[in-house]
Amino acid sequence: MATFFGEVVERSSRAFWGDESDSEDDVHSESHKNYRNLEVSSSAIIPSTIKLFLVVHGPLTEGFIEACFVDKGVPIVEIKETGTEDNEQLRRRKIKSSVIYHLASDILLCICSPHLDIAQSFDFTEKISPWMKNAEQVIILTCSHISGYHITRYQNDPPDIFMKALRTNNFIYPVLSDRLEQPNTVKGIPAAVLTWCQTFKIPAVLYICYARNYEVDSDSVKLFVHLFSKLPFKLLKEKPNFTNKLCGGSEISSTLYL
Amino acid sequence: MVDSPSPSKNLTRVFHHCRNLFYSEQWKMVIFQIRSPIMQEKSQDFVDRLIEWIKENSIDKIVILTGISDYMRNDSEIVGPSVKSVVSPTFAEKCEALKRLVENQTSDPQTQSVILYDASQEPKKISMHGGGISWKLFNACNVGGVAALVLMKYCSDGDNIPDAVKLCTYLNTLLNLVPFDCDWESPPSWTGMFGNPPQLGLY
Repeated sequence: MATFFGEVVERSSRAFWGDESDSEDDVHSESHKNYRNLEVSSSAIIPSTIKLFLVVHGPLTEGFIEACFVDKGVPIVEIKETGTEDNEQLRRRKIKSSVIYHLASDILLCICSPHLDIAQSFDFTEKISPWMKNAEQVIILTCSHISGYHITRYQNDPPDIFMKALRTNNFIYPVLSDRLEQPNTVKGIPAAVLTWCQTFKIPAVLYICYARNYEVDSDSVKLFVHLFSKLPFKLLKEKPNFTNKLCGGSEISSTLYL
Repeated sequence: MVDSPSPSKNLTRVFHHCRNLFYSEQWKMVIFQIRSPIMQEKSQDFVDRLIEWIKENSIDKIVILTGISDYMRNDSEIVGPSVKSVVSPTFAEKCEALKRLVENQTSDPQTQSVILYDASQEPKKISMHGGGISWKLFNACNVGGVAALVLMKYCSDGDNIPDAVKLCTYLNTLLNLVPFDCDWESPPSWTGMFGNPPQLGLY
């Protein structure tokens, strides 16, 4: 049954591997072993107490941070790819690193690189875990295209932008959004971080914003602004700046004809 | 990695992870649900640790449920059964239903529904294309002396609910867990999983 009318939709597949899925030849996997590993910059500082560890993933959330958050300052940690390629090749590929900033009063902000692959989820989570271990709470912000949101009954068209939440068992702070319903899932880096927090009993909540496109403007980030205006952390600028447009990641940015 | 709201009606769990472990006191059964694929580089390490855990907990038998690629079937396999099994001799000894299946099936390996695996004879490796770690885990069970059975359902990418029901029914005929005439209950998370209903804005 066609669920989209006259639109080009990227083919999806649950197949994780191609023909290599049946291969017992671990030599091939060895050749890729060191490729795309992550490393933490040597000057990593781990504060002993962290009130809030904020993880930001996705073009819309990163755009919100750039436009609406207070000045981040200089990053305290960089998490970058390492491996068989040298720095020159990495620079040519214009791979952006993930960074952690130290904002005011024991708040850390981690901005995930748009070039992180889903296969690096566990490695990335392990790299930032030393900071999460000392956090009183972790908030994960992510976004997804609205075509990925599953509905289970005939209902009116969903709004252009809305937010849902998933939290760990021990998250005692108010959750400022409706719970994400079945059969929707969260995957990749945000899911890995939330799972880690649940496993190691760190209070965490994930907010996922569904939107029709990732253009960053006052309308598309209003839900994030509303969220942070309710939190007891002064992180928002008086006057947001929407002039710096960010490119989207590898996710669907439009389902119209190309 | 995949997280989702609890897919069962029991909402005491806040959300489900990419791998979940369930235990049934009634059937003395542990179910390990793997919801997201395992990276190839880590798969052997994962299998080794799993076997270690199986042995530590003295688990008697292992059943691996998986889907394998439908497009890899050759002509004789296409006319054969859609659920294939590979079983170790130690497991076959413990399951009367499997023993009967092995004794009554044809001698043509292409159309057999149950392959009794013998590590000393060819073929040394059974193809489980699309089955993830299934072969690695089955092989590790054999090497480690753990009785193992793999149930493989030929399926394609898409709505696999009928495939899941068929696999469950086949498993039940072997293990006799519930009455044969019972209806399987679909979890609420299956509703709308393979496509939303049409948007009202179209009309």
